[in-house]
Amino acid sequence: MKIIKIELIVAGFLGNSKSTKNGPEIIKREYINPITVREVLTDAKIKLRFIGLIMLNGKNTNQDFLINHSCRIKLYPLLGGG
Amino acid sequence: MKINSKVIIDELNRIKEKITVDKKQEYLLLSIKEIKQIAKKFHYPSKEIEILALDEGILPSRYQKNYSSISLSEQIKLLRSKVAVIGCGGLGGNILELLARLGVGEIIVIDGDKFNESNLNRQILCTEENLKKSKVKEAAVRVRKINSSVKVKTHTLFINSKNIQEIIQGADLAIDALDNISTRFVLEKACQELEIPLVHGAVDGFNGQVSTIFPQDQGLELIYGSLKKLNRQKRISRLSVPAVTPALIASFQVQEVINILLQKGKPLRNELLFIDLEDHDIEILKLDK
Repeated sequence: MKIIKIELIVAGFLGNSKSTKNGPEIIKREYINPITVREVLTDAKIKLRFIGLIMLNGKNTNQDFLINHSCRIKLYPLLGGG
Repeated sequence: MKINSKVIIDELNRIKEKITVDKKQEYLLLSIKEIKQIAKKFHYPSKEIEILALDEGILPSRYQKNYSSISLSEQIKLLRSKVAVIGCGGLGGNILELLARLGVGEIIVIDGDKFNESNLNRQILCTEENLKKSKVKEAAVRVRKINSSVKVKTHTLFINSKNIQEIIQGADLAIDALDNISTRFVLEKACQELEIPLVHGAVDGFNGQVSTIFPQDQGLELIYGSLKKLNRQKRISRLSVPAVTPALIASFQVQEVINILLQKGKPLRNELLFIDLEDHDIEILKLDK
C-alpha cells in the first residue's frame, strides 16, 4: 500500500500561527488514496477563500489538481489590494 | 511659433557651468532655474529643454543623482516615455512619486475616487488637508511640485472594459495599482489588445507581489486562476494594508518600469515576486505557461 505523504507550507498571512524562530508553519498529512488539493486544504482546515497561488513541488497548480504522489505544497495568500 | 533647436542649444552652451564631481567623473549641470528661464524665453516646454540639454551632454541638476545608474541617453528615454498608472491609492501614490522623481516624461493617472480618512494610513498623496478631494487631481498637484517638466494627464473615473483602451492608448506601458482583482483582468485585456506591457502589483497585510505581463503572456490567469473560477469560489483578499507594504511593492513595480523602458535587467515575466515583510521573506516563483 502506497502512502501519499503531503507537507503543506503556508506563506504570508495565511500562516498566522507561524513562528519566525522555528521557520514556516508546516502541516503534515498522509493519505492512502489520491486526493485533490482542495480536499487536503479542507482537511487541514485552511480557509480556501484566502488562498492565492498554490505551488506543488515548485510548480503552480490549482485546487482541483489530483495528488497521486507524496509532495510538498506551498500556499500563498490571495493578494488583491492596492 | 517654431523654434530652431539650434538656437536653444547655443543658449544652453552659453550658460552651462562646468562642475567637477570627482577626479574621474565630470559633467555639466543645468539648474531648474536656468531650464525655466530658457523655456520661458523660447516658449518651449521645459521637458524638451531638458532633452536638448541631455543630448548635448548637459545634465539637469535634478537628475544628478540618477547619473551613473541612469545614463544621459537613458534619461532622455525616460523623459520621452509615457506610462499609465491605473489606481491612485497606496500603490499608485508611491508609484507616481517615484516616476516623477525619475523623470518619466508623461504620466496618465486614472482613479475615480476621493481621499477619505481611512486612506491616511498608507496613501502617500493623502493628507489631512486634502480629504474629500479627487485623488487624481491631488496626484497631478504633487507631480507638478516634484517635477514640473513631467506632463500629467488625469482621468477622474473608474476604468471598465469600454473606456480603458481609449484612456491608456499611446502609453508605452501600464502599471496596475488597482484595488480589486476583477478590474485587473479588464486592464490586462486592454494591455493585450494595445500590445503594451503591464506591470502588476498587489498587496494585503504585510504581503505583496509583483509580476510583469507582456501582451503574449498568460499573465494574471497564472497568478489568480480564471476570473470565472475566482468569482465562483468566492476567494477574496482581506484588504488590510499598512503603509510599508505599498511603499515597497511600488518600488519594485517602478524598477520593472525602468527595466522595461531602458531594457535593463530581466523583467519578472512568467514569474511572481512574493514578499512577506513580517518575516523578511522574498521569493521569485516561476509560473508555468
